[in-house]
Amino acid sequence: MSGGQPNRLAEGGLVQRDREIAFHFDGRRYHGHAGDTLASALIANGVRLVGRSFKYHRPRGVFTAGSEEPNALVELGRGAGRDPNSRATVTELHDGLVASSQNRFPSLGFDVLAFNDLLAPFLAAGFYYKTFMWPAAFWEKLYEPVIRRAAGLGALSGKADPDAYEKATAHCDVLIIGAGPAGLQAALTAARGGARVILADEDFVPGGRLNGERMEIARTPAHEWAAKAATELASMKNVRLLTRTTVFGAYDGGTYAGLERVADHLPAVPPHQPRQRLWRFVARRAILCAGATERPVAFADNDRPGVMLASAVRTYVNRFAALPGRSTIVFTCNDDGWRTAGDLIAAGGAVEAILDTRGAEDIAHLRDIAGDAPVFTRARPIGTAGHKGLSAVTFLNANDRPVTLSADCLAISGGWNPNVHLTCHRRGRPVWNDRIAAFVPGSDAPPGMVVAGAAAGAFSTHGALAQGTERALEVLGDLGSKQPASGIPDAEDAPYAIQPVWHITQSKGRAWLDLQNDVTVKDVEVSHAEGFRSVEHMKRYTTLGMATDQGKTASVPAIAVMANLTGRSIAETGTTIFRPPYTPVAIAAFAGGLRGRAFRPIRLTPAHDWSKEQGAVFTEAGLWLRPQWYPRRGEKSWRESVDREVRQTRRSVGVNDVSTLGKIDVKGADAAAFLDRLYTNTMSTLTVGKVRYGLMLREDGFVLDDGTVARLGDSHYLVTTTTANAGLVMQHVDYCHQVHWPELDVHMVSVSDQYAQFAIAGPNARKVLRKLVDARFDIANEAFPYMACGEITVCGGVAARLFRISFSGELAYEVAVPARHGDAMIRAIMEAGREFDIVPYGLEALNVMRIEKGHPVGSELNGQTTAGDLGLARMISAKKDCIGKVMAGRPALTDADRMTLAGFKPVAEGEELTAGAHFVGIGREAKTAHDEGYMTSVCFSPSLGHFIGLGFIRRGHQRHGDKVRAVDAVRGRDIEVEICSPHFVDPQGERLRG
Amino acid sequence: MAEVKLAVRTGLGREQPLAEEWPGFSMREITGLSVWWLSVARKDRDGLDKACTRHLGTALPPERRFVETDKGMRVLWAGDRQWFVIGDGAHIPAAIARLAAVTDQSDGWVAMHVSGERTRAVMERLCLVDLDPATFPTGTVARTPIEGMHALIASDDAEAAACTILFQRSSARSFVDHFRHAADSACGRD
Repeated sequence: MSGGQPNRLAEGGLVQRDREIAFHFDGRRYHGHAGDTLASALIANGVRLVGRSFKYHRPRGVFTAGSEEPNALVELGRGAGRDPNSRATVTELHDGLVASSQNRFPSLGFDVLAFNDLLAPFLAAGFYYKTFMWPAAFWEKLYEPVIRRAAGLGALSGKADPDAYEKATAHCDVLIIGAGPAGLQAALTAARGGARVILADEDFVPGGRLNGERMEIARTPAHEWAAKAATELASMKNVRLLTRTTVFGAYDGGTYAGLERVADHLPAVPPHQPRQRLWRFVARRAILCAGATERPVAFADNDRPGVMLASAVRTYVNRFAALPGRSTIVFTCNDDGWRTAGDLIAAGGAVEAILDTRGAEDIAHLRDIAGDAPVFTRARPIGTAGHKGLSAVTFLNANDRPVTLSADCLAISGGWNPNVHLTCHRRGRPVWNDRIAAFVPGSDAPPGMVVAGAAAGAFSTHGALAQGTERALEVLGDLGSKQPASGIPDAEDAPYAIQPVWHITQSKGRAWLDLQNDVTVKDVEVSHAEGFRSVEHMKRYTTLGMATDQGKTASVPAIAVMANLTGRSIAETGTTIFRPPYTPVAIAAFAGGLRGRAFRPIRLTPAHDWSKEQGAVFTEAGLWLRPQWYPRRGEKSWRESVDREVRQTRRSVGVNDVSTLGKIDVKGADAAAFLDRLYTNTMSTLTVGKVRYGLMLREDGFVLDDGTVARLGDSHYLVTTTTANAGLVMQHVDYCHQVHWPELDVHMVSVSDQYAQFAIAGPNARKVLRKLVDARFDIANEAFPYMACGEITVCGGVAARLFRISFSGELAYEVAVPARHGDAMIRAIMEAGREFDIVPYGLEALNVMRIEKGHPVGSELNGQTTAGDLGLARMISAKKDCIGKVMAGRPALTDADRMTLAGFKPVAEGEELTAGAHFVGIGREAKTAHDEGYMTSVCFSPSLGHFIGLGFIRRGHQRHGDKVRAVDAVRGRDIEVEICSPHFVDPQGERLRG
Repeated sequence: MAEVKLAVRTGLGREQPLAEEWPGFSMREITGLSVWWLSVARKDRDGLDKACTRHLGTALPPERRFVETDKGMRVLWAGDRQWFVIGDGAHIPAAIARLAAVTDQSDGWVAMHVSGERTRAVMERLCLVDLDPATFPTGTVARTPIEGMHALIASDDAEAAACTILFQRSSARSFVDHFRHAADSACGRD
């Protein structure tokens, strides 16, 4: 044994003994070697107790050597990025690794919640559902918090994950999942045939079981053969070899998801690298070579630290040179368990006994393996002893007499389960195979996927190599690739002999099936007795097969127990449905780099930099960043800035960046007819050089969006939309053309990004604009009246579009220039307006001015309002049809009692209105039954000197002068308001025509 | 007021075009490019094809392909009966404009040239398109989202992993930020 690591074998293994690594577990410093997992290093250091069980807080030790581990779950790291529920068996050891046990208080060695174990008779499956029902109010405040504290796994830090994650897509001809013997051989064959190959394996060393076994391939140690194969593959240009990468899901169209642990094995994440990378593999074909998972056998107290799967013991001995126990008993029902005894003996370990459930005649060919170790046939363990670690095993011998032997390790082999999970992710169902007593992939694997090796039930090394070759050749044939000369290297081809045993029924006490969820045979019996006999019901009733391991070692034995109880066969009982992910994946990995400011694209107007220079405060409008207001020195609140912007615009002139409005170019011989069908009002009568306000309905008759339509030519229109609805309207327009009227000669394309557009508003707007528009264009009121439009040039020949439209209610123009000139144009406008004290105004001032004018925006076009509600019923032309017209005529949508748009002002001077308030009659109780409507938009009107609002109230247009209460239960406000016209400023529209 | 001349900003809002390099990867903003969008009715498809052959020197490319004209322009497939015509100062002859809807998109799209042996490694972090030379040979075009943004990728030289990418102006800075992150990860940066 190695000095500092008491259970490290003096020689052997694949760890790098010249690279010692220091790490901490539960605050104590240990050493391991490069090539260790945390689990193997703990075993080498003689640490047996690594965790506490979920419900009963039973002491638990390392049970497996792979991703199926149910027990050895630890918290890795500290602080915000700590990673709970990490499986020590797949955690690669690195310098400075800090791990802590979880689900214990105050310490792993002394866990007061182990008291739960004494209450086990009362805590069987289903007790939650029956025990904590009364009083109902106690569940949320008392029962659930207490249960959650007493039972569970690790916990996240509750802080933002400090690590970076990344997503990527890789395409290939053949995706090979698993780099064991079948996977390596399949990859070699496919790659030599010229296919583009991706070989992904969750381990950090390719080879799979070959690294944990003492066997040869082509007369070289199997792990050396694996390393050589991996080296060849890594050198091939058509191969991408991804270690530390778990393919965890199979999806439509040959798409698979994989998680690459890029930096989890490093002390720190390298610069610019993610901690983990989520791969989307797009494969023409996939070969699943995911291997198999050994399963345990249920008997009393089979959960103590020191009880392990036999193959895991072999892996720790052969790959990691770590001895799980000083004295080991091997318990098996198949030939494979005997390998563990042989390998232990070869490594110098002590094998106290081999217990085989089979008769002497079944194991005669294995006797030599045992050497001097006693062999007990027809032996059945019925109990174990030891508190924080195994100390003895009691079993019935062939004569049914109990025998107790001391041992600190019990290696169990109940047989192997092919890892069929990915074949089931598209609803495939595995089928039972009596010969190997296991479920194997059915014929309904995802299209394009074939299975090879142990995952297909070929448990010999030769069988795996042969199937890897055959499946790869088949795939090459399907792809039309060349068939390379292929040979299958020599390897062991022992038949797989098993007499399955699931539960030692003679054992008394709790026989554990699911170590992670503390589910016993008795729990399955209770589930059966309660009528939860379908495996899906059993899973939900007992929680068997849930949590991080998803029952990889537990499910099949539990299915067998349930099958026995119901009298059905295992095949008839079937499995639960396997769904992605195969192993746990951090939510952050799914997000990849799309977090924080990168969560979604940010759209900026061409004048953004200028607005930023002015100190604008920005707000999000859809994906756009829009200036909300432009504060000036000395202004103490946003209201001061906004009030100033409104006053100055109404008094002289202001400019607003309206580049964000949706702009759709509509062209074609049938453009006019097309727009007539889209809009409620008629657009075909619009003359060239004119703009018209338009309203679009959804198919159901409610308002979709409003905007303007400008006719720039005989068959050329420009449609504008609200900023937020630009994408929606474009989609709607495209849909209508492609689906409803493909025969129309009409073409539409978004030009929202093509133009920078500015609204210049206020009494001096024309004077400012006159300084910018080239002299040959007359923009006087007579030549370019309200609702005119045209192609012009500005600033000495720059092509531009000019629209005489107004959202503010003032004399206003919108001038659009190619986006490249946007920055220069806003600077030119400001310079031209300097003598008029022009102000830039933001979204808030725009909002104030449109409320003062009674113009609806998103708050009013909220998907629940009709043209009639908005006071625009007359815009639905009686002379033509349009989308939504028929449905808009439904009685419920034309009911005279509907809520319609109105203005609101506080009765008491100085009262503040709030959006979202509901209208209730004066003297009536504020409850839903008395609800008459709601406030949609409010602002302080600098023009009027008090708050004003827009909202919908029953028969609003008939009730001007009435008083109601605006009740805002959220903000605790209840004030009296007067219903009025929504047109607060210049109701006749004289200014905008001036 | 003295006559104002409107200065020009690049698609990325810069005074000078962006050009950045990593080991094995570079990206360079292309400026001065005219971008015209063409869309044609089904009945005029053949006529447009003939007009293009006559006036541009090349027939319209088939789906997912682009062609170069002898006038230094490139015609790229952009959808069902839709194409982009791009080039340095490219303009659309009237004979073509009579048959197709033609819209100037020169300021709506930003063009970037990417190249280098790590281009595919960068791109696989950003988009779903398989840029392997066998599946995306020179002359191929794909319209695809890149991190949620519209883009058009054209393979200029598949063996050299050189592409021209068109993307929308308003989200161009987000687009470039994603490219920088992907390039940092794929190529490393000091």
